[in-house]
Amino acid sequence: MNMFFISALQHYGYPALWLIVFVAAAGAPVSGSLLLFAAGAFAALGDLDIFILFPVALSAAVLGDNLGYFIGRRVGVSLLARLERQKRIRWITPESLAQGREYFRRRAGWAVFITRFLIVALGGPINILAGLEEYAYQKFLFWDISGQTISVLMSLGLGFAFAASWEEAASLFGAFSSFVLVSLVAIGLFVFVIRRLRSSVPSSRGKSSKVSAVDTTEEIEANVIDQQITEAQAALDGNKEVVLSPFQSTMGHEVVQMVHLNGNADANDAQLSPFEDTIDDPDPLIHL
Amino acid sequence: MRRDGATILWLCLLLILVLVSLVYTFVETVHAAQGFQQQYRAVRMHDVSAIQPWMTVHAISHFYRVPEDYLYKSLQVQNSTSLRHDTLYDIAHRKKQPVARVIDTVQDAIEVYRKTHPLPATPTPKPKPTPRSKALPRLPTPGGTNT
Repeated sequence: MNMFFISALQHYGYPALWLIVFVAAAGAPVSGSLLLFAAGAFAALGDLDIFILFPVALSAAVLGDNLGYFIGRRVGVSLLARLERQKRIRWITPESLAQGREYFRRRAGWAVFITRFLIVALGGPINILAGLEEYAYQKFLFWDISGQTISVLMSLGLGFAFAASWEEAASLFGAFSSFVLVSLVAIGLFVFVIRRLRSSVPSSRGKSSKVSAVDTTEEIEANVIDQQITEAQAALDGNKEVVLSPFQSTMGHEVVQMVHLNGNADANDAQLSPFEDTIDDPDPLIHL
Repeated sequence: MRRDGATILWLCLLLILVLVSLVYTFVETVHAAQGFQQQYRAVRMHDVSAIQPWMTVHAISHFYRVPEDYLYKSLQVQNSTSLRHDTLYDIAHRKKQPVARVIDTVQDAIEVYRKTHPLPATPTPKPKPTPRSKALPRLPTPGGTNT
């Protein structure tokens, strides 16, 4: 595959380079940077001109990235909306999608910039993602041109400098790029695991504090009930009507009857709540 | 609580997997660096083992200081402007031969050419005197006078 592209570069020169770099930048599984290394080496041998190579390669890379961005913007948005509606994939919830989108929006510029020259493998997906997220086009273009300038300069420069060993230089660059990518993933995952572990410790502490909170609630309830009993006794002393109703505590079980007071009623007219069958006792508070 | 533990366990397994990948990519990077160093050194020493399928006859002629006509002759290919951009891979394809065989032919041709036209020996660069060595006092030589 690579030999085919290198032969095309040798035979057709700049148009071949432009086309291959454009297709690679648009997201096709073709190594555009490898070809730039080769182009730099051929420029060192006098087959191509390095000063023509730079604008040709830069324009192809930027336009290819833009194509990826607009594909993401046109197709991706509707596709994502469909995904959200249909919920075909179990683990892609609307919450996780929203979280991912927010995370990307905060770091999109940096992601676009770094994937142009350091983590080249993610360049195509990031273009589509930026379009899908409707990331501001001016910002995208700025970061894209900045990153691609570095990428093209670096690839052509290294190819030019190590003409006979450009293939090994490209391979070293690719291996280093993979190492950086895996390192970033490892750091991110490590931080995530640490945060997760830390958050799990306070949650267990939170559970114990919840128990103590329930205890406190029970105490408060008991105090309120004591107060109501006192008030009820005071009302009975003043010949007021007393209505009893069940009171459910926060623990979910019936603790005590709540006392409702209707003012200016005779103690004998005391009404009972539904669970009370009769009042045999003249003093309803005894039932408490 | 149990679910949290399972999630953390999975995350730890994933972390181990990523760390293994990290070690692997590091080893790959080191190997790539060694390969690059070997190839670079071989090219600088004009070692014929550094010839690659992407090289054109023009490139080989440039790197190994061998006339293009001689290489075309040894490959039994007529020298023309259309062939100038043909890589060894293209030549092998045209001749319906494996690339390794074409590379062997070129390597043999260069070795034969070297026997009759040896490369000029590169002079060993003299070490430059450092400022510290200049500052050191001159020791008296046996039998000599120190002025």
